Amino acid sequence: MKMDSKKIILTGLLMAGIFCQNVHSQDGEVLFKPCTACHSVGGGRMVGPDLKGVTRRRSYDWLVSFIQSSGKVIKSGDPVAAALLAEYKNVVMPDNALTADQVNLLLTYINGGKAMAGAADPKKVALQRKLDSLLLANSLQDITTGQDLFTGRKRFANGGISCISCHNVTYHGIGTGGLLAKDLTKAFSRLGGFAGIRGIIMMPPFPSMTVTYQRSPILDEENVFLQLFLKSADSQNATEPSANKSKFLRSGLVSGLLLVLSIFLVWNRRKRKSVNHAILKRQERYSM
Amino acid sequence: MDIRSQTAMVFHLDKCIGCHTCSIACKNIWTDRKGAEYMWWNNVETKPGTGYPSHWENQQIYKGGWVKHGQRLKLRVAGNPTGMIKLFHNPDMPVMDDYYEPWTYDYDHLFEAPQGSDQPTARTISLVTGEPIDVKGGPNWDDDLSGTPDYARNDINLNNISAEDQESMFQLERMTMHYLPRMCNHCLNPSCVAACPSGAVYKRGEDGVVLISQEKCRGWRLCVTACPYKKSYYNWTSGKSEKCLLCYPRLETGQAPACMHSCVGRIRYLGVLLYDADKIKEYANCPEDELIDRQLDIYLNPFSEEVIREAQKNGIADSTIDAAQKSPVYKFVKEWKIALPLHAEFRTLPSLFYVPPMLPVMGTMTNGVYESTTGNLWGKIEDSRLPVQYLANLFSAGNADKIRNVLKKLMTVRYHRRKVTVDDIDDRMIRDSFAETGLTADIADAIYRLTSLAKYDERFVIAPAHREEAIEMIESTDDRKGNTGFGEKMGTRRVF
Repeated sequence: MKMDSKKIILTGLLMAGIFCQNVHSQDGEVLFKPCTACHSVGGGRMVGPDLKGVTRRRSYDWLVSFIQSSGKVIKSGDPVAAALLAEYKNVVMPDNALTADQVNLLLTYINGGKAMAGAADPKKVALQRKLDSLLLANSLQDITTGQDLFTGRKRFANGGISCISCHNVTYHGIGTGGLLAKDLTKAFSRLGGFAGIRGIIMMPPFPSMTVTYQRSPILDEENVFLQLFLKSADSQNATEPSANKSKFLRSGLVSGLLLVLSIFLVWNRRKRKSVNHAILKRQERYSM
Repeated sequence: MDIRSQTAMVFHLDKCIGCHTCSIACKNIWTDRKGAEYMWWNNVETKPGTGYPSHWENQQIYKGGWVKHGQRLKLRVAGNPTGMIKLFHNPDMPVMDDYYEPWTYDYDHLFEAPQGSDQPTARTISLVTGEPIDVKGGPNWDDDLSGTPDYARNDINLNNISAEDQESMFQLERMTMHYLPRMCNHCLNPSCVAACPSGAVYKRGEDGVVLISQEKCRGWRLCVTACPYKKSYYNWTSGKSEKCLLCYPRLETGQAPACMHSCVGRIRYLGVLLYDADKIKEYANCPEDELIDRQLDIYLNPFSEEVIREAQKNGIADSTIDAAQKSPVYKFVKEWKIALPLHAEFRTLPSLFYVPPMLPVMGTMTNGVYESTTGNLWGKIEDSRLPVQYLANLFSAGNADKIRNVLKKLMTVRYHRRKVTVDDIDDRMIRDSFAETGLTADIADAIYRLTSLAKYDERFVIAPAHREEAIEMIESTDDRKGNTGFGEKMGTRRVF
């Protein structure tokens, strides 16, 4: 098919239109939405610090480079970044593919105070209240739901893969999980409670986890169940010292030893020599 | 009923002259490759003897075949926890010395040796290491009873023969032997297929040829151990196991397998047998003394209306049914019942049958004359040099009466033909022998004809392979012609 110039121009115009629309929609509010997973403005610290007045605390340039790639700033040996990292339990803020202009929009939005808590719509408030009550109730049923979600017995509503594929949790009734990612047995205390877990699940700071749940985000409610489950796992292992850690290794060694021993059992009944052994040996003797 | 077709074979041992032409024909086509030098997909053994690999019949050593395990049939080698361990360490595997170290000769030396006072010789060179070796054995080292104390005396089939009889067998003037050509039996209940952990060994649906997929084989070698006939070999170059493929490319083009085609004595017959696959499990598991009869029961009459109907229902081509009706194997095995499977007690239901050899009659020196005539009708069978029990151990799971029946039939055919051609035999003797064996003059003539006069098309009734014919219609097969060879379609390479 031959594409004439008119069509090319038309396509070009259409595409330009789409891009323009995108740029326009990138206002501060939209840009800040993902940040709410870990940050509040005036709502207290969550996974990350409260951002109220952040533009006064830090220089503009520092903020731009830290928002674009916190990892790079940490690596560069920046003392402030290092201190933040230590303060916030070594959870690195994920990189954001934002231009300096977009960061500007974002900061303006944070500065403008529109992002203050309480400005949210009633629907969100109701949801938040429900989630909070779930967390407060800490019911066994919800923990079990969380366990089922973790192990994949129950699927995530959006079809995301279950946590156990990559993570291990030492917990009664759960087999060994994946070893691709960090062991989550102590995640609850390590990440500083519900908020930490919530933030990581909502907005994973790990590239592979980000990609995994990009198209199938975990619902807020499911997030709560998981938080409850991980809390339960944490407390379970706090009282029971994790003696299971070397279990796999030990059972492997024992069964390996058994296998070797059984080989010796077979070896004992082996065909010790060729059936022609006597004939060949005699020939050797005579040929000397 | 689950009727399938099996390309089956009969070897008439009375006609085998032990020339090894079959082995050479096979070797030239299939196993003349690196790593396959020691393989003799077809070999000819002298019996009594220990065969190739040595003592292959002794399953106490090699653990091949099936054993009855309560109500079930169990592989001797695998199928239990020890079998699992044997995957990684299999002590029952034949080693190179059980076969032999293949060798060639340093022919170049004959031409390139520097001038000297001695005539140059061609030394033996190992085909495995490339180093000069002293040859200590070969695949037919006991040919024609050579090395009797080492080989023939140790034949496991002599085990239940009294020491006295054994002693008399090996007296010089009484010694006798016969040949036993062997190849893959393409069994109905193949233990190699059952043992393969990779699922690489399979039995072809259309003609029952047992093959090893060179793509799927991972060289576990359990088929080598599991095959009680030791007819699966490990290729140490390709790292895969190989076995007789019944020259299926030849079968598909209507030619007899190379070993059969080249047979000088024309001892080999090939034809289709229809069998009921539903019965395999039950019949392979029956008591040992019933094995031969049960196996014969499994083969169905290709002339029966019901069998034809069921066969057609099962997708067997009319041309195959037609071939089954003309099958010389069906006549030998089922109609005349003069061909028996080798070592039925291995319970693999082999598709290769042997017409046992008539044995040389025991003679005595009387007044300086070597006298071998006997007065009574079957004296020649009873007075034969090799105890009938020995043949029974080979061909009828130890049942000597079965062998006697077959030998009597063969003898009757001879009496009858003697009567027809020379006419110096008493009528009553002929009548008695017909009465006892159940043969008639017509059957005896038919046996005689198929035994001695049969032409190529009567000896080999090969069912046309329509699938391959169809492929020829849509694909050019010319670029494959002349490229016969064994190997992989996809090709692999060794990584270490």
